[in-house]
Amino acid sequence: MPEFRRELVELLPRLRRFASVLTRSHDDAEDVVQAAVERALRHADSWQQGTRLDSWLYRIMQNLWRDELRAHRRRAEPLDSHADIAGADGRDVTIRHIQTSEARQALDELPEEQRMVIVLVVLDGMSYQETASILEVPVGTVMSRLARGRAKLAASLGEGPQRMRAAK
Amino acid sequence: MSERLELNDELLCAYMDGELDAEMRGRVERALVDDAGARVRLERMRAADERLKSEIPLSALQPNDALSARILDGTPLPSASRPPLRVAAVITALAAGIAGVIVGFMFARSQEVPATPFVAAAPAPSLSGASSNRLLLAALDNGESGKSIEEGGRSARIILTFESDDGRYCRAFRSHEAGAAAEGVACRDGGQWEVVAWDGTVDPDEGFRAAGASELLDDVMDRLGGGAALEPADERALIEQHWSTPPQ
Repeated sequence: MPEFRRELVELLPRLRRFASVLTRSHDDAEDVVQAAVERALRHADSWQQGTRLDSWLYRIMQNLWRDELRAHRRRAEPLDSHADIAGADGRDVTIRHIQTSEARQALDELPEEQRMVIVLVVLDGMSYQETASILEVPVGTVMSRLARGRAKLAASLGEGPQRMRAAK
Repeated sequence: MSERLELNDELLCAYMDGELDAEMRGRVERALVDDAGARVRLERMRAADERLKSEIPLSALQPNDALSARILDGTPLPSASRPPLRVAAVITALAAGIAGVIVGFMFARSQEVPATPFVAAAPAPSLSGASSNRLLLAALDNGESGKSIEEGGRSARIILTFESDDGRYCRAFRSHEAGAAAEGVACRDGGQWEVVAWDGTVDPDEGFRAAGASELLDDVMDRLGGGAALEPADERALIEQHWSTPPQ
């Protein structure tokens, strides 16, 4: 168990980045990560050493977020990605970064299925096969989502200054 | 002479990501020499990747990180900041005899939600009589959204509570037991809970649910219609009143 806990802690930065891309919200991401960690700790006995802990946690977070979306949908609440992100504990620096990063904004505009592939392949450096396994889709689906997502990102970020001016 | 290679975005991505074998990599590189458009697309995608990596970096774990401290010292984690995920603890589980796989809903998409459970290959849990699933019943009666009720190796968790168009209180739930997991919706009718949807295709190991299965449950909740998911305070009030207050 101590080893399991240490591995969990080492994973936290990646879990937080994955969750922030998944939820597009700092607060939601923190909630998802915490809930996923709690769940993983409760079910630590079922995890086999040598298997990928990150993949397991990523799947847990996706399931948790799915439940969250259901609840929001029923409440008819807009999932405003960057709303209510005040921070009194130093997190505001990170939050400000999220708000002002053009790359983050371009990524957030992609459909979830494309964001998830991009965070796993581009940011996490996972192989197509690993990504397909985590998302439980065929490798061909990973490839098509990745190509569409990257093409949109390239178009968005390639516009640069024009895009920024248009937004003003 | 080999056929001219079409450098579409999927192939360019696989090239960028080192997913091609040596032969195909060589073919792509030779084709790029004669395809200025593909070279531009490749460079733009590479530039976008670099922007992502530099602007969405992996934040270093701070020494005073509260969550990591709690993980390491084993103290219970505090509740998450907001209601829906405050819930999110353990997987759900169900009582005996429900480890089945649903085949599909027994109604057409255009029909109303039927009063009976939509089960094809396996029975939905009974919520009345001697064979009732007491754990699920307890969760439906007294469980707050997001909190699990556990017993032995089984658990049941309420996902959310809402009021349907026809004036019933309904609760989406998830259950887990001995390698089988399921999701469903139960509605309160005549002082009793009745399972109106049942999906046994949930991955018990926390994997993605089959796409169709997820849609089935969402589809049922859409058909039941009604208001927003109840806020925690409203839900607690109903639990304390044993669900006796008729929906407004």
